[in-house]
Amino acid sequence: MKAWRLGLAVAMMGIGSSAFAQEGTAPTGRAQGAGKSAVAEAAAEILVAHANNSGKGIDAKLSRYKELKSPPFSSFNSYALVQETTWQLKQGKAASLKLPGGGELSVTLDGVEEKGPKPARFLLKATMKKAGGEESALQVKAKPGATFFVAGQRHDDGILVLGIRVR
Amino acid sequence: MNPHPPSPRTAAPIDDERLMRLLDGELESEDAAALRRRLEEDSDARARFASLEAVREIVRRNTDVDRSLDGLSDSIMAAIEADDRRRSLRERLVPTGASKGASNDNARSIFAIASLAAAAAAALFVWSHAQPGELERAGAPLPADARLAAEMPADLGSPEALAPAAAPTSDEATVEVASVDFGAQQGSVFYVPGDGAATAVVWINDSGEAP
Repeated sequence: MKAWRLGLAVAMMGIGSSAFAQEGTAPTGRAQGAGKSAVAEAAAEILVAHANNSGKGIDAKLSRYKELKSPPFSSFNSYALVQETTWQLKQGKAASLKLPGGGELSVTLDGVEEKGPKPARFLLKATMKKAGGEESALQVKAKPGATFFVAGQRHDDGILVLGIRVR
Repeated sequence: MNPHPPSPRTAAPIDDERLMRLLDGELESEDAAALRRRLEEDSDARARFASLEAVREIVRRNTDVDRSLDGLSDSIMAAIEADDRRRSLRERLVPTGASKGASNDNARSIFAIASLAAAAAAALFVWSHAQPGELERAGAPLPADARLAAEMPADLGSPEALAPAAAPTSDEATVEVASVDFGAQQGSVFYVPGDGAATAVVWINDSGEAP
């Protein structure tokens, strides 16, 4: 057995299924420290793409996303643009759209984190819900103009790839 | 009746153990080829394979693991098995200073690797079965080990191209994933090279099964 596998096996035995939670040691999203100030609005650009291995290549409209050429995105040889939309987010109010397959994406602007002279970062919460009700949720801190992806939800013969950019 | 029953070599589920053996070149060529064909069709397995590959490379890069250390691992496993067989004779064995020292060194090596693997796995955020409401509690910043995510190799698929990406620290990241709750599913968080700085990716390992 390779050493890295033995180490990983030992690590997994100790980690368990919820070892990353740190109860009582860190502030919740609602109680973040000083410096957080409210921002009324932000513009969010949402991208919905379908990835599979149909051999059709990457849609020209997605060519600017170099990430799609890197692993693990490069595991799929075809990316088709399904939908692009822009939201005007208002703090505390979720914006949603239906996804192919009956799921739903929701994005909420929770506020802005300001750290002195450094550029402020948007505090966002994104939720992906499947048609059957299973839900994944994440909180991110994003600089204006930065993009992040949420991917992996199955659809037809491939997966959905969601790109979110706030500015 | 199915006139073409599945081959035993292709019918086995793609568990992590098989993926790790594929990574380490321990599968027979036919098994490896069959598994790679299945990976082309299974996005969940592909994502897990990519995650395991990244963990392996992080561990190797940070411990300079070489073949001698892999041999150490095999020696340890063999020693454990031999010790089980000798369990009934344990009282006859008087550990010497040398053997104690060797076993301590072995334990320290494995502990170091396990710690690094745990940190790497934490950095890859292999979450599962988060409790309801955990998102609220988990609004906190990630564990410090999660900073390893910022030092991940730029290209998960090519060992030769494992130069760190424009590794973002917490203060410099264009997007910092503060918390994630995959619910009943599993997933990973990592950074891939993008236009400029590395891009955060939250990957859901969707099994496709009905809840």
